[in-house]
Amino acid sequence: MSDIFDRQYDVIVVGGGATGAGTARDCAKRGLRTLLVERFDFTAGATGRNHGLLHSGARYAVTDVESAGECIRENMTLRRIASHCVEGTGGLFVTLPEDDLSYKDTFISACRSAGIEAQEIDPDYAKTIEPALNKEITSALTVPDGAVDPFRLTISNVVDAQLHGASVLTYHEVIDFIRKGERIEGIVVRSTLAGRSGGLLYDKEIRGRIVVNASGIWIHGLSQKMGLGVNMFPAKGALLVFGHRVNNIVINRCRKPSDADILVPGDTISLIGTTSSRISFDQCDNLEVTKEEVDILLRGGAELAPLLAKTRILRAYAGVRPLVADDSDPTGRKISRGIVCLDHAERDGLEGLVTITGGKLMTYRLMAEIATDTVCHKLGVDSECTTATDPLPGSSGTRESEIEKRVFPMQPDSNVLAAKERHGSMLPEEKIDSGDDADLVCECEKVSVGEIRFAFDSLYAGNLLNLRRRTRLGMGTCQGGLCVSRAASILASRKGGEAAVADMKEFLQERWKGMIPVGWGRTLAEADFSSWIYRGVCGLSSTEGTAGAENIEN
Amino acid sequence: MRFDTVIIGGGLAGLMTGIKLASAGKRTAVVSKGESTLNFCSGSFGLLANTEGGPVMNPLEGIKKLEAPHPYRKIGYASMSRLTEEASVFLGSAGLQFNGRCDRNHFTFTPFGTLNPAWLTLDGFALFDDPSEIRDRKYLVVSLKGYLESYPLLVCDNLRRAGAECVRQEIELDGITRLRDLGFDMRTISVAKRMDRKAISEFAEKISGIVGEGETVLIPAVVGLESGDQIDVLRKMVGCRLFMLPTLPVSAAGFRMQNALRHRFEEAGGIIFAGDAVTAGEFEGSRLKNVSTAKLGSDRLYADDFIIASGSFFSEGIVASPDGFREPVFGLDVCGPSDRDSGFSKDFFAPQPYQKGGVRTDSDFHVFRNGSRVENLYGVGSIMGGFDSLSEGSGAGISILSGLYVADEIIAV
Repeated sequence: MSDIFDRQYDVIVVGGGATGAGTARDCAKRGLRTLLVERFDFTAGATGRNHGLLHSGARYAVTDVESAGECIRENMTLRRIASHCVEGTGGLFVTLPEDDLSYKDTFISACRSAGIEAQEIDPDYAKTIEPALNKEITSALTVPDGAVDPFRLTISNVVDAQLHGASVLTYHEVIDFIRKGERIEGIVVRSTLAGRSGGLLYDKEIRGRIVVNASGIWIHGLSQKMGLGVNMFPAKGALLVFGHRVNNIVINRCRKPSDADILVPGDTISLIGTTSSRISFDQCDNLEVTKEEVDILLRGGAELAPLLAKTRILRAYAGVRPLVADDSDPTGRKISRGIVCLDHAERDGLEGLVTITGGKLMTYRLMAEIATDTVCHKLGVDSECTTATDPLPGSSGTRESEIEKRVFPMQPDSNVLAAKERHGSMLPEEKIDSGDDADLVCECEKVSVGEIRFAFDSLYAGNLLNLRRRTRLGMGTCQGGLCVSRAASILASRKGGEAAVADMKEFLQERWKGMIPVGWGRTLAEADFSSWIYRGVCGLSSTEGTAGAENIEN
Repeated sequence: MRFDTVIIGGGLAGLMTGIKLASAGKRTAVVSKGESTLNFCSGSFGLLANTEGGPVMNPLEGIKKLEAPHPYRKIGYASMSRLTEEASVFLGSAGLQFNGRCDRNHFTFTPFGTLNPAWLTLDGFALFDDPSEIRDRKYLVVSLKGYLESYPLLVCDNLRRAGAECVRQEIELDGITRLRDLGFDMRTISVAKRMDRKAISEFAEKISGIVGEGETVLIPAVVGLESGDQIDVLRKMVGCRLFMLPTLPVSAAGFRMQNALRHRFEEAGGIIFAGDAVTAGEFEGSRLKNVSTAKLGSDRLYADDFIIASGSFFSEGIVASPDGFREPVFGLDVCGPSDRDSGFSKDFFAPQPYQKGGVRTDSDFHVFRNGSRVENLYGVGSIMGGFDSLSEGSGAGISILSGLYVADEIIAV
């Protein structure tokens, strides 16, 4: 670890979301000595708190044709380079009786201009290919939407960055910059695991020629530290996770983008979102979903797929859209559309700092490319971007052939299939298909001992919250109630019993937070069961073990 | 069909009440949806371990510190001590040998090797009068290869912190590993089912091979699914101090309790409508006349008295909706926090106000409907509202004692 602090970097990328990970990958692939720094865990911010929708761009076609075009191009790129993170479910835009039917034609022509294939189909046919659809729909269009797993996508980028020589540092927050006159020469980080078992509090300086700020909504505060005005507007978006895959095709509402009008299937569940409300910066680190948001989402969801009214809700969560002010607008209140890459030498006369923001999860790779182009230009490095063509780790070979290899006519092993679905070619089969490694830890999501070990060894998982983001452990119907203790037991062999118990408590606390806004029916029954097990049978209490210093990450 | 008493719910409360009534010669029926939360029981019952004033060592004395509408206050000090004796007798008659007493809590191991206070602990599990007794003991913590429901590392860590010496060993049992390789699930009940005579002999042999001088052996609770005799057999073969560590649900001990109590109830003449559920009731004035069930079609179950022991949220004896709680069978009056906002503490490990939600009962455990008392319908066990049994460590005690108390009332008439 001390080695990481002492190296001299060409570029330090701040922020372990998709954009930061993508930028680190691109920089490393172009031969730059790269460090990726993340405050908590990868995907802990907005990257891990959205729909997981592989946008076709159709949603933006009417209002923002440029973004729509970027989306469809990146959509096609991700299908190629991140096949193990993408599910080509297809998407539908449907009109309900109360919607303005004429919007449909505007929509189709806008899609056409953006290069998005939108095809009108018979509403009755739509209902046969997607039985969850509201039977009242008056029109239906197909678009090339899909589902993308932002957790796996990001980790894949991190793994590739490291394969190309990048260093990686999680649980370190940038608290300051090393500044020499009008030049940034590095960062000062503080460990954020302090207070947890074995975690020490310390600050370290790290030197790099260029710092790329890819920290999403936290760009605002970091820029302020340097006296720079990068105005961000935090907009909270809430989502609900349902207990099973209600729909198999993404369902969108064919109207002006609004609340609760996208229903996305992903892995074993479906997601309805989202809402939009301005929040203050101090709320960004502790997002809570309100009763009103839950009601909006439930109502909107049931309009798209009436079955949702009767489907168990697993949990509610929220993320912050990092909206950024348009530099060309003198009032500073106008939101910029599309990707914003700021070279602060040009903009503010401060050398050595680049800010990348304003895009979407869908365009993370393009954002990374633009940021890396800027970095290369500044460093005088002449190197081509290859991230749009080279597959990510896990996506070498087509996914179909990966899976076909496993489907023996005699006994398809669904546990192995689930793990292969998640990690593609990154996960060697022998790590999960025999002996202790094949033992199942999480039944809901079919996560085996071997996959957990793989995540600890190769995917930068150091605690149980990390493990959930890497493997889906505890994301299913029991929300970790039955498997977190098993996973903690495996973790205990690496970091000791006390730390494992503290992690287990954090995990349960984090799950509970998402259940409170939807605490009724089977959701509450399961939570009741979990509290009965862990507080009652296992005797865990608030005071036992260390307090959850990571609460802020929840 | 006509009975003296019909009990809705076949968990701990329902079965204990049923056993008492049937043993007293009452024609008693239990309508049970299926598995109950008894299956989740780790092997110990709590009577009272905490009040708002802090930990309680003597549950009988501790009752005095409870708020007046608490079920224990309704039962009263005098009856409490008598009914706890009776509980042990009924449990014993079902072949369940428990240790412990009502005027002093003991301590037993949790699955993680820490200690929990308890009133009664099933034979085979360790119990201590005082937590300090662990200190300076030597333990051998045994786990089974392929079985993930025990936590040897956590146990050792906690035992060492409590001042004990501790080593751990993983044992591979041919019979168990073979099943794993064949793709059987390796959860508690499956493993316990395969702990036949042959597997136990192999288990004993392997433990004997590794146990050191003066060591107490702790094994996961996968022995004794059918009867407690299995543990004695294992102990005799090993020839050293040996106890089981509880496991998380579904537990073998809970499974055995459920079966033993059902069996005892039927032996005493009770009738179980298994896999059936009461769907509605016909009321006449302030009395419940009969109930219908999912499977009996147009037939009704008539009785002089009815008892509802259908459990709390997990068992769906109480159901929460976005607007509040309800009792789904009869629409009985409920009490507890009235809305989503006041029901939850953000701290998962803190007392949760929603857990006080349940049906309202009067001083003799009659329930209310539309504001009026129902003369012949009683609520017992965790369906009742107004107390936090998880924080109190009183869930099993309330289930058993409120049931036995109500049975007294019914028998006395």
